[in-house]
Amino acid sequence: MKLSEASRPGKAMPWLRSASLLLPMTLVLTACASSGGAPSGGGESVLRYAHDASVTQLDPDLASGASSNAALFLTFDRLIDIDADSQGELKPGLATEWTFADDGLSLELKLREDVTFHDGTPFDAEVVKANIERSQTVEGSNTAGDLESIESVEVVDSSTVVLRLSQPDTLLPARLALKAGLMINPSAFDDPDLGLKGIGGTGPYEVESFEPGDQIVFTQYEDYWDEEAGDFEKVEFLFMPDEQARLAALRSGQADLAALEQSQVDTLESSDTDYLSGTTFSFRFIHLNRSDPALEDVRVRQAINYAIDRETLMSTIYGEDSKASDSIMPAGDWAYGDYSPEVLYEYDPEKARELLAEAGYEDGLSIEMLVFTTPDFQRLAEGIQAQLSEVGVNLELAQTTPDQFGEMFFVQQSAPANLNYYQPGPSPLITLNQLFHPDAFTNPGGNTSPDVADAIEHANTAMDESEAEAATSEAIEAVREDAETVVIGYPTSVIGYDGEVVGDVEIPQVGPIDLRYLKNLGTNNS
Amino acid sequence: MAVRVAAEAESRAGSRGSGAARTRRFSRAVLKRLLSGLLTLVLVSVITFALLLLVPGDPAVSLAGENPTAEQVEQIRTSLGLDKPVVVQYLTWAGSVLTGDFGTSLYSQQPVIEAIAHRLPVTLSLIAGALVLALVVGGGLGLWGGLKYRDKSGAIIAAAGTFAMSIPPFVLGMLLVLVFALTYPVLPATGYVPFSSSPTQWFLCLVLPWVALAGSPIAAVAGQARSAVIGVLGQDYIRTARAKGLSRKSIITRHVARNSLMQVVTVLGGEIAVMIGATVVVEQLFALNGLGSLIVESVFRRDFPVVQGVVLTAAAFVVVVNMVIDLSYSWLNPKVRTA
Repeated sequence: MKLSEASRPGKAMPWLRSASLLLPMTLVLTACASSGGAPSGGGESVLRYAHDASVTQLDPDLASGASSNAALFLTFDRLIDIDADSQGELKPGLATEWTFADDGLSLELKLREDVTFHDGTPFDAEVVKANIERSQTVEGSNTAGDLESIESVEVVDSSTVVLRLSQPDTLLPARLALKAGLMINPSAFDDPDLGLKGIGGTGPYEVESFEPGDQIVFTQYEDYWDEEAGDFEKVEFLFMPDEQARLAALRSGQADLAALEQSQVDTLESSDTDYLSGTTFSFRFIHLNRSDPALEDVRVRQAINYAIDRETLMSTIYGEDSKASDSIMPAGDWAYGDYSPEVLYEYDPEKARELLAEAGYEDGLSIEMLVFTTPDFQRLAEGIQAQLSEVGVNLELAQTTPDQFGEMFFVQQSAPANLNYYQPGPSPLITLNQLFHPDAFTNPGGNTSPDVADAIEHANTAMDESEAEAATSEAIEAVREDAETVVIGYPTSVIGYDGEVVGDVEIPQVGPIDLRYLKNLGTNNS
Repeated sequence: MAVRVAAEAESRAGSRGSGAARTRRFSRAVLKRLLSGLLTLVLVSVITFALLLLVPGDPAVSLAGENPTAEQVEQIRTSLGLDKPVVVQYLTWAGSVLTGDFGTSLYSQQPVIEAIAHRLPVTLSLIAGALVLALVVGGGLGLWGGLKYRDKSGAIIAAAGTFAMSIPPFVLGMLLVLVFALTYPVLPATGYVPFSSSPTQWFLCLVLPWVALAGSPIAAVAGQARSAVIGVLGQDYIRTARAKGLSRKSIITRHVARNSLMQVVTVLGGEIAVMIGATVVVEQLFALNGLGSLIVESVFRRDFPVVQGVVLTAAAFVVVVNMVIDLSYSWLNPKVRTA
């Protein structure tokens, strides 16, 4: 098939026969007349986004990793949406209202009417029921865990559905604003094209073509219910793993929007390229296995927290705009009103040494930490290593990758620490459950202090919102006091864009970059 | 090299011995190489499998999503057959390969053959173009340098070659992007357009990657060609040819170029293997999603069927190229044919 096209240049080989060696030297540099343009043509408005992670699978229940969300959310709608402007507050998606019953054992959803799938099938309550049942049962589902509390789904009428729960689950709406809330056309459930071609959504864009791990081309869905969304006729999702390539693509016009890194800000400045830089709710932290003989001791964990000079580490590696912090809850106005925690672990190596001595480690101790091979993680790890060695903790760094560490850290538990990042969902309670719930797969060893475990359980099953909030806040503070983890801080995210092509670019605090509402400024009609 | 080579080369078209016997000898040689090629592929697949086992990482864990349960991970492991003994896993895979089924990606569920078919044109375009550049530019420079080896220009070419050979492709690539895509934006910095959509765009998108990939092979070919030419020029048959009154042009094309080619082709065989390795870097640099980027991702994810598929494709490519090169010796030098 395509093989023949590619082997065509090979046909230049017959020069061997004539052996006229001297002329071809002029061949090389004659073709530079026209400038490189976008691969697409035909007078359409196109948004080309250089993405840093590859998307391999478009079946919402099978796609792994948060990195595919930016693509999934373009073509599939969620029951509940996240407001990008307001610090991750929930807003209506396919469901316009959601209310818990007084006993907390059921959640009623009012559905938007006049929503159709890309093939024209109407979206209704039966669809929601079928989707939840599929997510819970389909082989290899990674959304089943998110919907565990749902016992049954009851269709009241075509636009009302009630989720019956086995126990109160305050987090359910927040989880319905992530992958678990994505609605698929039931006719696509068993179609391999769901995963391979991304069919079966209601979103503002339809998938025109998808090549796993390479690129996705989306076209506008004209009958989309929200006229604000889907301003471009086409969106091209280009996978570029190398950050230099993403920057070069943006600067030389092969991309209009690119995920970039803090270290590239100087180049963006000097080349007059538009960019946004800001912290998000995503934080860098040392994930601890608290069943490790040394890390079991709260004094050792507190000592590590005291021994780290967060301000210096964050500002040197992630720039002045980044924020040093020792809390899993970002400062500012998220979820439960203004949060501005006092720093609990002010840099104090002396105190760290005392705590270690109390715990019986006056002669020092060795801890192995898994580190991703990307440059910023390496620099951060080396900084932490140097600071810990001051107090007698010898941090041994072991290399890993985002695809590898899970096996090493969660399953084999080959090292008790992992320098990682966490990208929170729309509620801090999700963070608490994933990182600290005693039964969570992503809490290796499962050794959580009783204060934290009880507060999480309380928040999960609270009957009303204020009770849940109080319990969540309590859990967040307990995590800090018991030094369940070592948060370093909140780094900056950088997005570069072409300000003549695309408008309303924002760095979302929660979740992936939202391409649905970007404005077409009408200059990219190639 | 024997004095008689040129004479034999000239009498190449004339038959030596019976045609049928020669064809039989030739096909036996091809068969032998095919068999050893197959053996190589089997060894490569076993080694790849063993290497993947040595490094930790379990696809089931990454596949289970952000909020997995231990049971979910176990279920995925079972459904992928990752819970079976290693030998069983390998034999199951090898068995399906024999029936032409290379399996599907653990992540995308896409058949491995399709993934490779999609990526192969990118990488083949890249390698073929770089190969042409290496042969044409490298060969041309080498011939020129060899003919002028007593002049200053010859010495300059030799020195420039040594310098060029020591520039790694990623450095050359970044320089090219900086100059020709960012400072003087005449060529795109990234991307790939299939030949079928637009031959012009295809060409323009690949110019910089070709040069980046071919830089070091050009120097290697030029160096080899230069010394081969110098060697041939010293041969008696060149003096004879001159004495016969042959024109300079026909001495160069019929004797010097042709007889130097064998050494150049030998170098090229090695360079192709190096180039396949370098495509991994060049593809990342220019955001070309070919086999190189496919294998990088798949190795990190332990997407075993894809890794095996790509490695086998690359290995088969190298085996075939080397076979062609071996066989081309007999075309270039009839003495080898009889051996």
